Amino acid sequence: MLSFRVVPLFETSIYSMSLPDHVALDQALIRAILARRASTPSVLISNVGGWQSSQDMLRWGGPAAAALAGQVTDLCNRVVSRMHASGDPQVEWSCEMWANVNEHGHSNQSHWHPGSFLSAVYYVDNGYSGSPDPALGGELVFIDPRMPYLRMRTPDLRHVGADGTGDEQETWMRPQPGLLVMFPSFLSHSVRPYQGHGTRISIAINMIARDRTQ
Amino acid sequence: MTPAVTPLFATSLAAGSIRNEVRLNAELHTAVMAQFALETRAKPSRPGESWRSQEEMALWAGSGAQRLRRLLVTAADRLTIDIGRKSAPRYEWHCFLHAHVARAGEAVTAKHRPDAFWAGLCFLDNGMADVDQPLAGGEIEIEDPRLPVTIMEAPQLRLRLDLNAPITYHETARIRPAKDQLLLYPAWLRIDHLAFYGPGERTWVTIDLVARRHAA
Repeated sequence: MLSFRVVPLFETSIYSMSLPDHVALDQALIRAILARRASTPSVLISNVGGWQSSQDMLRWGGPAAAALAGQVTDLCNRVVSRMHASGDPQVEWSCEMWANVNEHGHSNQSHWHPGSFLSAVYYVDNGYSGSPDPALGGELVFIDPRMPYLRMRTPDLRHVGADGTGDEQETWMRPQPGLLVMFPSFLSHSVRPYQGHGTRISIAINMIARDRTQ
Repeated sequence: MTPAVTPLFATSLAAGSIRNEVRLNAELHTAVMAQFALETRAKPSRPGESWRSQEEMALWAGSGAQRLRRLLVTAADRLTIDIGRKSAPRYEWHCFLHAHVARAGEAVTAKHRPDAFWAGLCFLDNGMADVDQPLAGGEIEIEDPRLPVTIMEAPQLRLRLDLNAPITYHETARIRPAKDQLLLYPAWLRIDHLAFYGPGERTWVTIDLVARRHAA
């Protein structure tokens, strides 16, 4: 019998970290977001229900929004490198930021962020009130960028991966307060319906890269 | 604090070898070179193009091809999960093999069989005369199936795959063929053969494994 080593190729990298000492930051962000929601109607883009702000949160989000943008910019500079060069990637990052408030039954349909290089989401409140119940929903869903041709001819068959399991076409991430998740902007993603009775608050960010050498 | 990197949605490349299969390489190589001589005598390859057997190897390669086919079907069973299977297997593998011979400078045109689930390459001779000759080229280049989206927005930037080591994304993966090397990969993956300038004849078998569902 032949033996094989399965080598994983061309993965899509997701970067995540929990911001240290995020409680005070979260409280300031909640105040700014709820005040904005009280005075401004929602835009309607990927959100199915819920309230979504325009992309100018850096103008109305105060020092807390600026601090979050700084954390995201630092993360961008850590996860990006310039071709054929080491050190500073020589990128000027431009940040678009908006807030999302979902309540019972609200979700976001799958979408991408064309025109951006990296996208991020920061969770201010997952709306779970400490409950681990998976039925509360609200997970962030990433969809395999190779879909649908991965499944077109033989939908029931899976190629075994390096860990011995079959390849799946999507993966879910359960939000936690203080969690910052970053991913390539071409990666399709959605938010499953939130089934709790609290308020789920997240901040979405697009990071647009401008080449400083040009 | 170092952020976590979670790699998602990998494309599987299964790397193996027929080295431990007694006389399998020799048997296949002898059959391939005999067929190569027969077919090119009747109809020479076009100038500058490598040779691909006209007929599937089952028709002319004898017991070596049968052995390789059995090994590949067993491998395909182990490398594939049928998520709808309850007890008996629902799919049957059909294995198609073609032989190839390339000499220095000859172009190789990769063919894709659209109904295959796994495709593969088995190198009987890498054409390097048992000496490592990096400048002789001939690498297999595998293309990221997500292209071109990974490099459209900021072509000068690459994502780091490991934040503790200088490993960054590259849009292709290159493999130097070796004698006995066996590679299996999803059949929709684009594979290219870079120009080969080795001193010998590069000889290999292309593999297509088609999964056909049993009638209900």
